[in-house]
Amino acid sequence: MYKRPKTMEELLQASSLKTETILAGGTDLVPLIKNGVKNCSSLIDITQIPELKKIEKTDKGWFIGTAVTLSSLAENPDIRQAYPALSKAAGKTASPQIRSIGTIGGNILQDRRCMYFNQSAYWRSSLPLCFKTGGSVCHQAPASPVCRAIYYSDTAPALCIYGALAVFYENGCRQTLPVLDFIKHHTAENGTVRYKEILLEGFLLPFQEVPMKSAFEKVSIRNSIDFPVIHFAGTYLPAAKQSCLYAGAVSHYPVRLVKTEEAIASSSFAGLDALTEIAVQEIRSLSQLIKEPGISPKIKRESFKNIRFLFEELFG
Amino acid sequence: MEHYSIHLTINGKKYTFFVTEEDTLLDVIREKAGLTGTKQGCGCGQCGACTVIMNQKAVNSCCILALQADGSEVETIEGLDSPSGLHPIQEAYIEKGAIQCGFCTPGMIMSTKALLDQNPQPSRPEIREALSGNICRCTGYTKIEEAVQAAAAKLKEVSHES
Ligand SMILES: Cc1cc2nc3c(=O)[nH]c(=O)nc-3n(C[C@H](O)[C@H](O)[C@H](O)COP(=O)(O)OP(=O)(O)OC[C@H]3O[C@@H](n4cnc5c(N)ncnc54)[C@H](O)[C@@H]3O)c2cc1C
Ligand code: SF4
Ligand code: FES
Ligand code: FES
Repeated sequence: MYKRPKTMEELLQASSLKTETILAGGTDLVPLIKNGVKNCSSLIDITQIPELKKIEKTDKGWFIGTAVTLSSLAENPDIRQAYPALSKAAGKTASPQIRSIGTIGGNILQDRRCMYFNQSAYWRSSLPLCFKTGGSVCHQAPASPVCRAIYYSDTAPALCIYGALAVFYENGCRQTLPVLDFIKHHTAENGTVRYKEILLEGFLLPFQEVPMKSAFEKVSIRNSIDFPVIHFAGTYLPAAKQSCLYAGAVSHYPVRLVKTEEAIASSSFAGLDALTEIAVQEIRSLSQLIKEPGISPKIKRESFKNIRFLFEELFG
Repeated sequence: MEHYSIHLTINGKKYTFFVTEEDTLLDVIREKAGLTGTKQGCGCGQCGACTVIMNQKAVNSCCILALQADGSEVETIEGLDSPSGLHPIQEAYIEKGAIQCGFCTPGMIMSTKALLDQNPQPSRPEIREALSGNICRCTGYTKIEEAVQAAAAKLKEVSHES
């Protein structure tokens, strides 16, 4: 069954059965349907609802609707000015074709990825089911009690550094959570996504009371279409030596680099090389790498040092 | 599986198709409209061979369900053809040697058209950015970039003449 509600009321009514899958741009979902890991028996297309497609200034901050496409977000002059790292992250995601139709909500709610999961049904039929497809083993780490698939959303760390809140409905109740908590909440322990219970409305980005520097850097194999090898986002307030730093594509969700932020606050490092080393050690301790197509964990660890480019942007 | 009727305008012509939840826009274009110029490569958004223009934007037709496209205006490579011959973009691709096996070409040309429709005089970085979702295994991209520049010049000439 396929429904395309035109108003929020219709959507809330249609999604109350909890059996539907929300369809936004479909750039994450449609390949998974083709691979037989998601089904399309009951889809609700949310892209025709005006409230979900708006970017607007409210008294609490900027609201970005879940169905805003990544290209409209990247091109929006207000967002580019107020939240440059988010604008850059949206513009660096995937390819122009995917950004034309892929949405910010779908980007945050995209499935975690793994070379044993993002495969055709035929490819997967030669192995027992893993946690993420309903089985009881992880082929990446057989001793692991949970799925280790990686979360790659490029916009997630950029939303996190600005303290963005996710506005969503769960069991019909409208609520908010900081984006990182929302991502964790949305991803069930075995790596499947609780996509039938949550309806995301959008994101609220608080105003920056004191202007901060902010930046986003992405490393990928070909610099186009590819998912990130790693990405970094950060804010810096020079007067207070206050920073907020995230790295992503290295674990189940973006990781916050608290020790590196403390080193910046106490100026306990001699130059950018030393700060980079502190950050690399912290990412090493927080990352949970798995086998990925096209890059070995050893080379991926080498990519951690690219955080220096973020520091050059923030402190340059 | 249910059947739904959808309405599409493809290359200026109105169509009604009967589709299921599983059919993609690419399936409809190739199998139901019989417009086989649009190619299927990876089938999952990674190569751009299936690129068409939907509501003025280049999109991967393999990753869009036909139902999502209901009511849209779609342009495919066949829409560039005219009684007076090839489109200036097609001529430029041929003249610059930007085609070898030709499998990526319909997608490349549709990404080129989407770019030039919005930005008639793109810079080199803008061309690279606009074509960054299209993969070519043969040409090495230099000739394609030259073809887009040549196409921009040809289109400028045409618009001055008319
Ligand atoms: C070739 C390729 C390359 C890619 N590269 C990147 C990349 O470099 N970086 C990156 O971050 N991502 C990448 N992606 C992932 C992703 O497709 C896009 O980033 C896109 O933003 C997803 O948005 P969508 O609207 O298409 O999501 P959809 O596919 O429509 O939805 C994704 C998931 O979110 C759920 N969902 C969507 N909206 C809501 C809502 N409002 N409420 C509840 N649930 C919802 C859906 O049910 C589904 O489970 C890539 C995908 C492909 C195919
Ligand atoms: S990380 Fe393990 S459980 Fe998760 S998808 Fe990969 S193999 Fe399956
Ligand atoms: S066939 Fe659609 S992107 Fe490759
Ligand atoms: S000409 Fe052969 S793939 Fe591009």
